[in-house]
Amino acid sequence: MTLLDRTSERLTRRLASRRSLLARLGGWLVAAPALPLLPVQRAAAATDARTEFARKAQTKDPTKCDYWRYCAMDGNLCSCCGGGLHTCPPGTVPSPTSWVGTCLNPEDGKAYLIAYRDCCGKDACGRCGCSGTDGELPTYRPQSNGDIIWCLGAPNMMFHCSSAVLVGLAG
Amino acid sequence: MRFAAALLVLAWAGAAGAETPALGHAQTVYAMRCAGCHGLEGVSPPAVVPALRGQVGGFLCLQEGRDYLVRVPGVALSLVGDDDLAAVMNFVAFTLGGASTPSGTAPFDAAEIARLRREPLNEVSLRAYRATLVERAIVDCGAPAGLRAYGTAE
Repeated sequence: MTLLDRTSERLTRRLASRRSLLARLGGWLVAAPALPLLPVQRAAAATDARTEFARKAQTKDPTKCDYWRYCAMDGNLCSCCGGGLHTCPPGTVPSPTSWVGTCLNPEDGKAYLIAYRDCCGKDACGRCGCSGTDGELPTYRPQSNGDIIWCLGAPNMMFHCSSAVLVGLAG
Repeated sequence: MRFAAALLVLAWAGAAGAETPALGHAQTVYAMRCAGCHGLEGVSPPAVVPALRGQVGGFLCLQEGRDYLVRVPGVALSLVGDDDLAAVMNFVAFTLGGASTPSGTAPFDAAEIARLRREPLNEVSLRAYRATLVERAIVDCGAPAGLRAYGTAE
């Protein structure tokens, strides 16, 4: 037999062996879900536009800083100070001005406009101090800055706490 | 009973949905860049922040007033592109301005915005300049007298 014949025969036998073929096929089937997806998953992670805050945000407890609406909250949570997500504690009044940010709701993956409305008229509450900075700009862009005491237009400039009013779905 | 409860839940869900309006693009940009002070509905403490609702259109009867609305630093120097800014200005003029905007007022477009914002009102006494425009708009074309309120806070 020529060398070419022997080589062809060996190759044919290997390919024709069902056990060998199944073993190889099985191996590829097991590995398949992992192999092609790995680079894709890495690419997806690299293009994940969500902020650090949005990736960890929760939707259950508005007395915690990682509650989804607080992505740009800077101050004491009114939810911890006798008020609510969008209500002021007794003895304070909501400022007529606020700064408006955009937060991602992890439940539906949509962006919502949130007005960080300060409650004014009493000393700072002091509880649940949070410092979300998504979308925040320096103080020379005060419209988008959380360090400003947003009691402008309120009867009293004393900051007590901040609420997070849901304005609407961003378009 | 169960059916009634289901209906109630559906009604509540509908109401909750209705409480979270979907904003158009111009309104979203307005909400993010302007509404914090001017108010989502254009209603603000008028002595501190110029009130837009039912008033801002008063400026549009004067060419100089129309230019002012774009050249005012908060608008001209905003972090909003010309196309979006034109859309926001049209929302402000035709939706918030309401009846104060003279009929036949031409909408803003990106080219006009781009031209005007190249000359922001940085070099003038803004309040004094605004006050002269407001008087002319009120006397010459019957603009709302409420425009005088801005700047009267102590």
